[in-house]
Amino acid sequence: MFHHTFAAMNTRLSMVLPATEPREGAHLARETEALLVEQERMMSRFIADGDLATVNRGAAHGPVQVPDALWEVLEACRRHHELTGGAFDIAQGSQRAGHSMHMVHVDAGARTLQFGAPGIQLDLGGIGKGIALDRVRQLLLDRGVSQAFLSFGESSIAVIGTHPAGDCWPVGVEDLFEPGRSLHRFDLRDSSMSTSGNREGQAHIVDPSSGRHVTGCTTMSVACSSATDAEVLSTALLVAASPRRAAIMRNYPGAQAVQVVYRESEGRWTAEKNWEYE
Amino acid sequence: MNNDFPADSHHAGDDLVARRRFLLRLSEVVAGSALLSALPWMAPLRAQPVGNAPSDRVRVAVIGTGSRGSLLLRHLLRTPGVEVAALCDDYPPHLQAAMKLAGNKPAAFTDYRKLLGMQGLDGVLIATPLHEHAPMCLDAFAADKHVFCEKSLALTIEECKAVSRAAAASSRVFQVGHQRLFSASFLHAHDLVQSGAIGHITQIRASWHRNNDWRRPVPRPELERKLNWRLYRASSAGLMAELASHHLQVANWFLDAAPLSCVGYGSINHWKDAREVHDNVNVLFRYRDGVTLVYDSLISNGRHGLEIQIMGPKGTIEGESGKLYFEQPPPAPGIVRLIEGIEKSKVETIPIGGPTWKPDARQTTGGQDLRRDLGGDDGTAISMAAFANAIRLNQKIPQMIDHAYRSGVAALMGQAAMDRGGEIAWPGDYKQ
Repeated sequence: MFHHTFAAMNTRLSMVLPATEPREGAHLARETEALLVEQERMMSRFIADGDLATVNRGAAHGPVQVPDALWEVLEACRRHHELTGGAFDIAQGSQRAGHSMHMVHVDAGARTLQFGAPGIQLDLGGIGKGIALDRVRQLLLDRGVSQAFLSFGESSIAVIGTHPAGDCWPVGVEDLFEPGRSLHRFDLRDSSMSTSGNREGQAHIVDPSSGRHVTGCTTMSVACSSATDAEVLSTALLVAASPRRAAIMRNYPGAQAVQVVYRESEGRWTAEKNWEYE
Repeated sequence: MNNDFPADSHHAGDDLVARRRFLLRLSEVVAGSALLSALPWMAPLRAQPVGNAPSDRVRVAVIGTGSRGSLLLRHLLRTPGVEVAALCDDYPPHLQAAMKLAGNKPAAFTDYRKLLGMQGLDGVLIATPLHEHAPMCLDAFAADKHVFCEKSLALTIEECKAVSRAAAASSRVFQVGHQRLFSASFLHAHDLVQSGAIGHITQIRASWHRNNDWRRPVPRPELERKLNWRLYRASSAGLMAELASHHLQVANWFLDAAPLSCVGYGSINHWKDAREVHDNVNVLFRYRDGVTLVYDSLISNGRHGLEIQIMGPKGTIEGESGKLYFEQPPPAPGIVRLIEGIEKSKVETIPIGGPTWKPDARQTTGGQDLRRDLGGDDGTAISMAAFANAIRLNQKIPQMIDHAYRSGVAALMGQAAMDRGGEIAWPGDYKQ
């Protein structure tokens, strides 16, 4: 078995490769680290000379040329924006009501992009780790890895094959107030799981319909084949009003989801499954 | 092991009862720890603290009752089974203050040779200026006494060799005042290095920065060289001996080697007041396997204080602040459980999903705490108990001579490198 945990994209990536020799694993880990450095450079808002930061700086003033890799990511974002009925929206970087990806003008032929309103900023925080994790999984598959458990900051999980002693990788949604306890189980086989949400007192997910933060202590977990889809859905379902959620899920065949809501009473937090889709 | 290290923090030493309770617990921990038992200088601490029977009592004297000597005296007065039989200093105010501290019970001497002739004296603790260490140690061994000598070992390399040879030849105990050998956090750090927590050591960086003139007040000008002995080359090897020797000892201990050679620069660039020792020293020590110790000390800027950083490919230990930092974040508890499960061929649900882990959590950037030193004691209280027990058992502490010799000589190599320029080679073992 090989396992390794390292810092990447402002969080940590853990790779557990049960059927891989340590020497081969160390080589794969180095390749993975290099791949993630590349991905972060492309997708981070905070690396000043990175691709996304360059677009964010220039696109308010005129059309900006978008490098091919980032172009593909932005195309995927536009597709998910449609599939989620606008609940997934990367144009929320400045948190203003009414800002939306529709205000980003795209010239597909020239591969340029221009912001149609002042203050728009693109933020890939709701999809970037999923995209990177799918790339890592593909790299490992290309290198012949048959079993893998990958955890990106514990919020995005991707697996290859099955647990060596089982017929799947059983993954639990962990109780935020009782570490080690699982509230809901997903059986992953060559698939992914993503969780979005707020810990107590946190708010970082923006609802595109209002421009406001989603508040309250709650998490949304989604399992499906692609880590990118899982991450998009976990964010989008959290901001979408409950009646719209089933319609979004129908656009992602095979996806499962569960929302956990935490409530405090007399200093004790209790967890409750609030919504579920299978 | 260090989770068991007695944390009876009030206080390793407020009174005799507390000290006895602490030492009793320490004896159990040392006996039960393979790691601590493997360190020869911990062996005397396996003995349980004794009672008040005269047969259990060891009779010691402190030679040199200035600031360091009176601190040792305070600890000795609270160490079970120790009788401070005599005190010696040729500066009357220091001797009088120490006698008062000891309730005027010990015999008072101004000449250490006379003290060594005293009947029934088991051992001496030497806390005098550096140039006096060697003659006093040699005379004490000649008088068949157990010897505790404050660091640094001696003023010249020849003296270091002579004292080490005498200590090796004597059947009596020799101990050096490197209290980090008895410090809970340094013992924990050593344990971590031995267990591979930071990988093999690739560099050690240490420094000791202060902002003061390093002077003692002098009541009359003719006492200048006596009280400010640290500032003059006839009595002192300056910052290398007085401060650097501590970190040189830690480096030699953790690398289990003496340095092969060193280079350095030093000067007086701030305290230009007729002193003879450098007010800033900057030295590099080369060890085997291509490892370097980078050391500097100055007394014109205190911002960076005191630290030793022990670095390897997996992490860093900061010995003085008692911290461990890993190069990479630790895996989540759920991942640890998963790995354990795979090793046991057991399938368990992996509790994991939550909002993204962020590296700004305190446990990663703030480092992990090493075992803390006890009640503010940096190992000095424990080292006094070790010395007393070793005397009572008449049990030598073999590696002590190497610790004293290697650090004492390394300090002088650093000074020689700055004085002569060029590279100074390790002068060989004391047995040669």
